[in-house]
Parts: sequence; structure tokens; C-alpha cells
Amino acid sequence: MQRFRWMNLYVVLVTGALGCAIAVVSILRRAG
Amino acid sequence: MRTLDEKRIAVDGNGPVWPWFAGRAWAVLLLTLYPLLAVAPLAAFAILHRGSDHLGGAEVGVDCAVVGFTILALQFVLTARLSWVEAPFGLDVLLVFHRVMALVATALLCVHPVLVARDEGWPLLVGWHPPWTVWVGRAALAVLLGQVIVGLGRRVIRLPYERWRLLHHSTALTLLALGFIHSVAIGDDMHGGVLLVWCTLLAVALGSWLYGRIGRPSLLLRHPCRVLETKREGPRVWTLTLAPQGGGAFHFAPGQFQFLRLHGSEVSSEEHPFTIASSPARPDRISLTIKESGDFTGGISRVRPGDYATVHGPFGRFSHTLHPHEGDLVFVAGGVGITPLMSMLRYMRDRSESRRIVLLVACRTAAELLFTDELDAMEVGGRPALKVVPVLDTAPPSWVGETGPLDFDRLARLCGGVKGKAFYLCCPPAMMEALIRGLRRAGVSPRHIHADYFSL
Repeated sequence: MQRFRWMNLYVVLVTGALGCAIAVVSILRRAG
Repeated sequence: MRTLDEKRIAVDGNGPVWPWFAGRAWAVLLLTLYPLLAVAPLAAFAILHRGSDHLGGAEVGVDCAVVGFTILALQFVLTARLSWVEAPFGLDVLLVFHRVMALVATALLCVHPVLVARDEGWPLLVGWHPPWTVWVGRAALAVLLGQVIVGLGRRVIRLPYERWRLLHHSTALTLLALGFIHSVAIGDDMHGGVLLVWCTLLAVALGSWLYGRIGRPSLLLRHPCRVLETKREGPRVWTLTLAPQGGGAFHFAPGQFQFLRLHGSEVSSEEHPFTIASSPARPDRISLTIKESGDFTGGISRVRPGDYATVHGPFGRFSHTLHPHEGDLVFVAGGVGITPLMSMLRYMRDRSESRRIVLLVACRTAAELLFTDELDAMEVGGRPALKVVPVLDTAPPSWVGETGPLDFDRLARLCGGVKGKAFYLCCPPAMMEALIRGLRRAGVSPRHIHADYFSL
């Protein structure tokens, strides 16, 4: 039960982090 | 048992000793590593190939695809049943994570063609005459969407688990191949270091797939087991007792499960997960109690002593031995869901533990109640201090016990209130969800609710 709650929170954090990483890398690559 | 997982669980005089990689520190390390690995190829590409020929939106689209494909490649590692990945989380959590991350990857890979086409021309997305590399990408996306739709709707379309799993494994590999070909053929920076990083990712995914499908089954064949005994426990319910061929011992914690593959019998040689019902205090053999239902289990009554089998495991974290500080326990079983709880009870009996336990068993009819003689003997024995309460859907006129659905109100009444107790639930999903909701509303901490989701 507790394990699934932590997993849900983790998925939200990871998805957010991946989105940020994509945005940052895209901007950096465009900036050259 | 002398299997691949010899080092996983040891059982000494104080109980099961969980391996170091089942602990919190290793879990935190893996949780930190996963997002880093998911963005590692993207970061490597950015370092190795500075600058971009794409417009802003298209660049975001390409980067979404890089991360999406990396997540898909990591899925092969998550599902390879590697003990050092599974042990800190449990295979049930890992499979749900696998499912959720598949949806995240699908979203990223669906955004990819839209953003690229917006900047570089809509014919890339909807045209009939794009380059072949685009068609390969479209095929990859179609396979991915098909995979997701079938995965989410397999119960609706009543696709048997065995056929779905075969389809899932083969299309996963097709998807990986199509995605790789598309990216290498269309990516203008796919050479040198960038290509090396991408090939490494493919090798990790392929290696995990090959290990799970070919390598591990071959290694397990070196340590086969024999079926010692088959016993009918109730209507369509059988117990198989297995022992390692040539001696040896099984190492597991009570409540865990193993994957079983039967060889040379009349039953399908597909691999299936089954909870161990026996006690780890008797490590020279295991017993698995199985209900005839799907393609595989439907033939379980045809298994004969002397048939040989391979087992892979143990897996799972549904075990009271992980929570030694809990006080009174309430076990809730739905039908054959009693098996992990029997393993725990038998282990407590073998260790002569004095814990207080209420076992609630929900069954449709009295004939479906399992292990009744053994549970009666345990109650009389007093160690553990067990109270068994069967709850029947349909009871004969002579029945003097509980009748009706096992809902939260009945659970709270039968176990004398929920305060200060820990709950172990192994029952059908609807009943499980309703009981968990009730327990949470009654203020029971999620830390004290343990659920074995055997139908994930």
C-alpha cells in the first residue's frame, strides 16, 4: 500500500524532471 | 535452492535475512539512477553534437523522441526480473511502474511527430509519399499504440493472459527494432559518439530481453526440481510439492512467490507466477497451491509426481517478516488468496511464535474453504494465537458462521476494531480496494496495510 503511494509520487517527480530536462537541452542545443 | 538467486534470502535462527539490495539505501540509489539514465542519451547527444538544425518546436519533438525511446529501452531492464532491481520495491510495484512509464513514453513519442511536422511540414505526419524512414517511424508508433491499447484493454477484449504475454514480448522487440532503425536512418547526427551511445542503449535492452527469454531459462535448467506430490485441496484447487533434484534448499521469505515452469508434463511449458504456500522453515521443498482457471492452470490437475520443473524466484515483499515491529495482525484471504498467508502462518507455527492473528477467509461456498484441518489444528495449538473466521457468500442451512460479503464493517467487527493492528490482504481486486478504502477512512496508516496484488 505504502509502496504504491511512494511510486505514484515518484512517477510525478520523474515525469516533471524529464520534461524539464527536455526543455533545457532543447534550448541549449538551439542556442548552439 | 541452488538457483540463480541463491544469495537472495537466507533463513537463519532469527528468521529470513533479506539481502542488502532489498534495503532502503539501494532503493534510493536506483530511484536516483533511473531519471539520470532516462536523460543520459539526450545529455550525451547534446554534449557530443552541439547545436541543432531544427527549429525550436522540432528540436523539442526530437528530444521527446530520444527520451521516449530511452524509457522504452529501460523497460526491458525493469521487466527482466533482475533480483537487484526487484528486491527493494517488489515485482508488483515494478510492473505498475513499467505500465505507467510506458504511458509516459507513449505520450512523448506521440508528441514527437506532431512537433516535428509542425515545423518541417505536415506531409511528414499525414502525407502518403514521405521517405521510407518516416514510414518506419509511423510503423513504430502504430505498434506502440497497439501495444498500449491491447495492454489496457486485454480484460475487456478477454485476451487470455498467456496469449497477451506472448504478443507483448514479441511486439516489444519489434517496436525496439523499428524505433532504432527509424532514429538511426533519419537522425542527421547519428554517427560517431552519438551512434555509439544509441547502440549501447539498444544492446542493454536487447541483452535484457535475451537474458529473460533465453539465457535465464537455460541457466535454470541446470537446477531442475521434481514434482514430489500433487494433492487436491478443494474444487479445482491443487497443491504441487516440489523438491530440488539432487538435494539443496529453497531460500525464501514467507509470503513470497516464484515463477514456475513445468517441463515434460501435459501442461503448457509457459512460465507462471505462483505464491509459495509452505514454510521456509522446511527449505528442502516448496508447495504451491494453484486454482485451475487460465490456459496454464486449467491443466494443473494433469501434473504427475516425477514431472520436472524449474522455478525462478523468490519475488515480492508481501511478508510479515519485513515488519517485525507490528503487533496484532489481521489476515484477509479471498479464496485461493490464502496461499501467501498460509506460508506466513505455517512459518509462525514452525517457529512457535506467540503473535495474535485473526484470519478472515472469504469464499463462495464452504466447499471452497482450504486447509481447514490444518487451520483448526493451529487454532488449538495456540502458537500463533490464531482465530480463523470463514465468511461465506452462500451458506448451507446448517452453517452457523458468517454469511454475506466481507466488507469493511464486517472486517472491523470480526477483528475487534482496527486500531493498532496491521492488515495483510490477498483477495480479488474489488474487495481489496473496498477494504483498503474502509481501512484508510478508519484512520489505519498505509504503512500498516499490506496488499498482495496477485492479478496485476
